[in-house]
Amino acid sequence: MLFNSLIFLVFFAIVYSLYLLTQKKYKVQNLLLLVASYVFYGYWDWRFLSLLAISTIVDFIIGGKLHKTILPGRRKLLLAISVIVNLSILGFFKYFNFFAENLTQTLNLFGMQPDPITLRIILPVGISFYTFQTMSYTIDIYRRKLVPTHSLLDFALFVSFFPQLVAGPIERAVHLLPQLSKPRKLDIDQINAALFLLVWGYFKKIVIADNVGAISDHIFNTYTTQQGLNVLIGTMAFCFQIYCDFSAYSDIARGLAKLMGIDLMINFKLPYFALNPSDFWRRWHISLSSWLRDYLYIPLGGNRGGKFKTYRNLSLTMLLGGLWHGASWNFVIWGAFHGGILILYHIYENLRHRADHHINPWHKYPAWRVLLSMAAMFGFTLIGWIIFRSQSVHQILYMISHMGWQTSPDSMELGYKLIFFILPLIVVQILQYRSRDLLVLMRLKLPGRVVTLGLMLTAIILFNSKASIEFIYFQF
Amino acid sequence: MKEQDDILPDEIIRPGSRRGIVLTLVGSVVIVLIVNFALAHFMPRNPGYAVVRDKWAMLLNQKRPVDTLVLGDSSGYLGVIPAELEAKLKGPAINYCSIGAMLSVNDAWMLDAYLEKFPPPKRVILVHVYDIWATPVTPVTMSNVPTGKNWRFNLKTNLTLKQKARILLTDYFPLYSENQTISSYILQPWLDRSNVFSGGLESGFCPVETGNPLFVQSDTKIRLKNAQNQNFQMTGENRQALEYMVSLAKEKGFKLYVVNSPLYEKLYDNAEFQRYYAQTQTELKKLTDETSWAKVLFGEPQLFPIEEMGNSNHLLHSGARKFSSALADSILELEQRR
Repeated sequence: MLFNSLIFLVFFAIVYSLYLLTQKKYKVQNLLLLVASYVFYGYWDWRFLSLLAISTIVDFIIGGKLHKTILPGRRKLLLAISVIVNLSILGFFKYFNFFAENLTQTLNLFGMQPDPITLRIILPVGISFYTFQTMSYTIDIYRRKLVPTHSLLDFALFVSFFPQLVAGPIERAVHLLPQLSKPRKLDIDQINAALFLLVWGYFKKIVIADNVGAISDHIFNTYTTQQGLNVLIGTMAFCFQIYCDFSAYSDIARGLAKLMGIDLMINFKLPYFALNPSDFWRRWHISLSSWLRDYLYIPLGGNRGGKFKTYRNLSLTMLLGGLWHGASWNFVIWGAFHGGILILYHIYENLRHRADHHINPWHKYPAWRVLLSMAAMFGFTLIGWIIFRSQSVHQILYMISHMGWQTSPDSMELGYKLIFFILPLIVVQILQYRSRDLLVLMRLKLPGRVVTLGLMLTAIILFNSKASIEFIYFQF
Repeated sequence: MKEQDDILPDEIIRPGSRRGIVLTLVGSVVIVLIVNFALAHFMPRNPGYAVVRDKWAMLLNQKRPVDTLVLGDSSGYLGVIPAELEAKLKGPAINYCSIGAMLSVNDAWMLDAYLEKFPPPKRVILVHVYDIWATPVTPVTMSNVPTGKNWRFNLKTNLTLKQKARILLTDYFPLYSENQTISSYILQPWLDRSNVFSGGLESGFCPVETGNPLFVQSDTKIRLKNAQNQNFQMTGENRQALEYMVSLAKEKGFKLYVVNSPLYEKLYDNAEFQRYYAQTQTELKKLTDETSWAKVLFGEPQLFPIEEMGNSNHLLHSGARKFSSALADSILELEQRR
């Protein structure tokens, strides 16, 4: 069930009406949301509901036992069971064929000819998201940062809450679970904000992402016939497609949750305004990057063991972050690329003996230098997206080496369409950046707000492709 | 100080009010409706559909009855020359063929509209590309039929409630239903939108003088691909419309000839295509064989070389002369035999 489908709108209208009718009984609301979440997920493929249920039950039981147990060895064992169960499910469904194929190819290199083992495994939607979410629960209990819930209902809802189930944000139990374990108040201010998030989210997905996606698909799918400006346009198109697609999902998820009185974490903070690689990961897919930081980078040692270990930990974290996106070498290379530029940036920072990412650069440096940093980081991001979107190493090298200013007969049309669709995003984001307020459009007076939202709704109807196009991050 | 200077943006929630939310929602919807109605009144309609409106205008303004009424899709619009029919069949003829997406449903509607004005013609010829019979209704095209007399709904070819609703949506909500047309004006403002098929509004025939052989070949490839492993199944709306016209022919006493569009000869070379084509013929014959008033013409498809084709089933002017002449001969032979 896609957010941008009629069936979802009907589904949500029913669920929300029932939710409002049961406003004074939060446990009934939780039961309603849990059933709705399972219906929402089962709509794709009901068979995978069992995986969701297994993850939920295993972590609920282990979470409770972890809290009660004081013996360190036993606690480690319990945590290991939780991690192994979760990662085994994820690993089997997401990575089995990838590793099997690569193992076969490697053995072939040594002259061995094993029978290739590949299974027809369907990737369950959102498995990477809810697996990480439920793992954070047991890890936080293990670290004594969280007291487990005694309610299986609340915990099951935490794992499966439908607005963020299939593409995040990857919530932490410390943030979401307490909200689910007490009555929720529908706050008119939050509903007001939800209105903007929903319209802006749908606008980004339907108007921008799906339309610039057609440009990037065209260029990337016919890359051997493309060159110069077209390659640049295709790359830029993908750059905005993936941002608008993914951030739209987060905005819609957060908007829907706000309507129900639930706050989900912000997942994007204007990532294309980042000044450096470190800044980029504080702005892009924040729920994943902070998860990787807290549950992988820091446990590996973080920056506590000297430069070499810091760089090793960064590399490993980014490689696994890349692999989290999918069982494919381009994601691994993408992770390695970002790991590489992060390390280079750390070396540069160490040489300068500065770590000033909390200081407003506009106060410290001349404007040209800030803009130059932004442009440079945007350039690196573009290269990263080429790696991410490409189907082969050959395509990555071709696209990077053929990018330039040479025009083709359709360059003008493609460029015009790209600018037409991303212009509203650029304008809104400049306003957001300058005001440091992601809800800046809500500052408009009522007539301005009405016209803005009215025009966004008009564009959603006008530029929709009629068929609901899946969100890119569903595949992860 | 560090926190204060942090450049990362956040969400600043502002106080809202029920009134403000309701006004924002209602106002936004009003804006959408204003844009929609402005478009409904001032927007240039899809030029591809202009021929439907033109042909209906011709029919509604027609002053005299004819002996031969030609209905159908663009293969007939570009392929049947009324003057050729008039010369051989000795009586006035007119061509009301428009576009394929109107299906035979539009033929039934036009026939009804004609019969409301005039006595039955001697003969009605339906010209369609073979795959039109397997095509479902497209509400956006149906909406081009004039609403004045409500032809679309009170005629005997019943559409489902959902189809009618979608046609009405197309009438009154072009922002949604014609969004491809409107957005193309915005996204490709430089395109020449003058209608390529705008000729022949006297007799209804549109002559096209030159073609592109490469286009004929690429269109043929697509048609061959579409026919692979496909079995023909006539859509309900087409079946209903054809059955209705057959019953009208019997009741009013006119001949109804179902004619297949001409074909590019290389398209018909393909065995898989022949299999699919034969299925269409069997089905059409089954529906027309129940009365002597209706008949599928041409036992074998009318094949043409690439020089006479605009695509795999639309003729250039030179081919249209031959096709029209063969059509008239075939009718003449049948009617004289009887």
